[in-house]
Amino acid sequence: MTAATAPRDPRHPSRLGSTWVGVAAPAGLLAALGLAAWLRADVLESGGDPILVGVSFGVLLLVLARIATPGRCGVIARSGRAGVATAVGLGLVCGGLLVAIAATAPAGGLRLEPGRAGALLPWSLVTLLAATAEESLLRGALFDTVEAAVGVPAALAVTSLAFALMHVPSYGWGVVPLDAAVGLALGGLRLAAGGWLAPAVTHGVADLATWWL
Amino acid sequence: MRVRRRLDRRRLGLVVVAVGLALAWLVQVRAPVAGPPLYDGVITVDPYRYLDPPPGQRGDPLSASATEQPENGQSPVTAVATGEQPPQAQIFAAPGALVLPPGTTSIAVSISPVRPASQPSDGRLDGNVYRISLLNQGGAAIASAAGAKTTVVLRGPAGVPDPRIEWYSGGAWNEMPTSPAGLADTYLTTVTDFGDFALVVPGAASSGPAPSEPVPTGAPVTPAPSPGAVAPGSAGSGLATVAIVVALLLALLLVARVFVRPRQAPPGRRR
Repeated sequence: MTAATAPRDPRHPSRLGSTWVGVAAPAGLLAALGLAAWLRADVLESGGDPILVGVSFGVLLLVLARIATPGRCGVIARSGRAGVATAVGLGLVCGGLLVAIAATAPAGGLRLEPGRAGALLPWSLVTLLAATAEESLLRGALFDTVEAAVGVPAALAVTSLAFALMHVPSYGWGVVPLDAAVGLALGGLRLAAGGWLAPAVTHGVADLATWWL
Repeated sequence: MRVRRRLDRRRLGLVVVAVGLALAWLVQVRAPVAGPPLYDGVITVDPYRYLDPPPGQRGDPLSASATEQPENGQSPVTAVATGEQPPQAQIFAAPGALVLPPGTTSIAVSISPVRPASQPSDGRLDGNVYRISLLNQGGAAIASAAGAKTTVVLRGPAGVPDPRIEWYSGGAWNEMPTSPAGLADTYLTTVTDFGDFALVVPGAASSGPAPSEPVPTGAPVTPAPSPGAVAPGSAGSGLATVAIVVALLLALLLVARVFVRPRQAPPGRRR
């Protein structure tokens, strides 16, 4: 049976219509994400330009997320300014808390990097692009497809684990506990805000703060 | 009904956010990540800074130092790194990992690039030798407890495959168990004693001139003047490799398109 001929689930007409597609979609997204993360780390290790790699990685994740959920945006729960404001507000609060956790940790602390201001703008733009793209895929497309297939708890678990594991090629296994916990918080934010804009804001704030951390 | 379901999801979401943040805080307190906790981001890698830069390469490697105070007779979290981005040398010790001589009231940690006392016999040095010293207020050396997983992290010049960390002890370079530290050209090893550490590329020993005199402990060499910064591998190779990544991922997208079907809106409901 192929995806094209699979019967739809009558209980959930808006959901993916068969077990095969329901499992294959998140599995395909996970495989794509894993491959992209591994390639990114490999290219960077072999001397690739971080800005170019970051742009490529971000654009491709955005395209992949869009292809996986072509009929639905899922950025915010409600359209209009109120929806955007709620999502951005939640995202900023959560991002601030993550930065506070990092800054007050025993090995943390803020330090300014004078003399590097020239690189800040391109780095910030690419960092925001990468954070947005990851959230559109993880807390957007992947969360939706896993939730449709097996429910919210599994969506939280899978996206948190994927978030942690996708950073292993770049940063090593040591970041898995922290990134899994942060991934869980981002997943909760996706639930609370009803879309992936809020986790994208949080992710962006946390990533941008690494310039000073 | 839908409003109530949305509220339930929101409540559940906020609870999950709180749990996630609490876990993140707990992880950072119990097992802090050396350096900034990276959720992601784009890492900019500065060109390697050599103590004695080859032509066209950058000089002025940075040193680092810190003074820590014992807490309840135990060493605190000790994380010191040189100032490059990412650091070229780091040390990280968990709370209580260091064996403090009796009467220790302060721990002076320093990392300095030094010229090597000798060349390794089993390969060539890959970048600078870093002298890592931990001394108490009386100048007594501090070691790490066995099994405490005190870590030394070194970053080498870009694009050198599979170097390993070696430790200079007993008049010779000794190979240490080395693993990649995640970031490009960055490797780590666990240590119990400190001293001179360097990345070494296995193979024929360097046939270059023997190094000059060893530098006394605590007296790092004055860095050589920088001949100008060059970012290795930041132009052509980056474009080529990105093109390969783009091609592979586009192929992957085509495969994903086959498996993932567009969502259908419920009857009578507009999105």
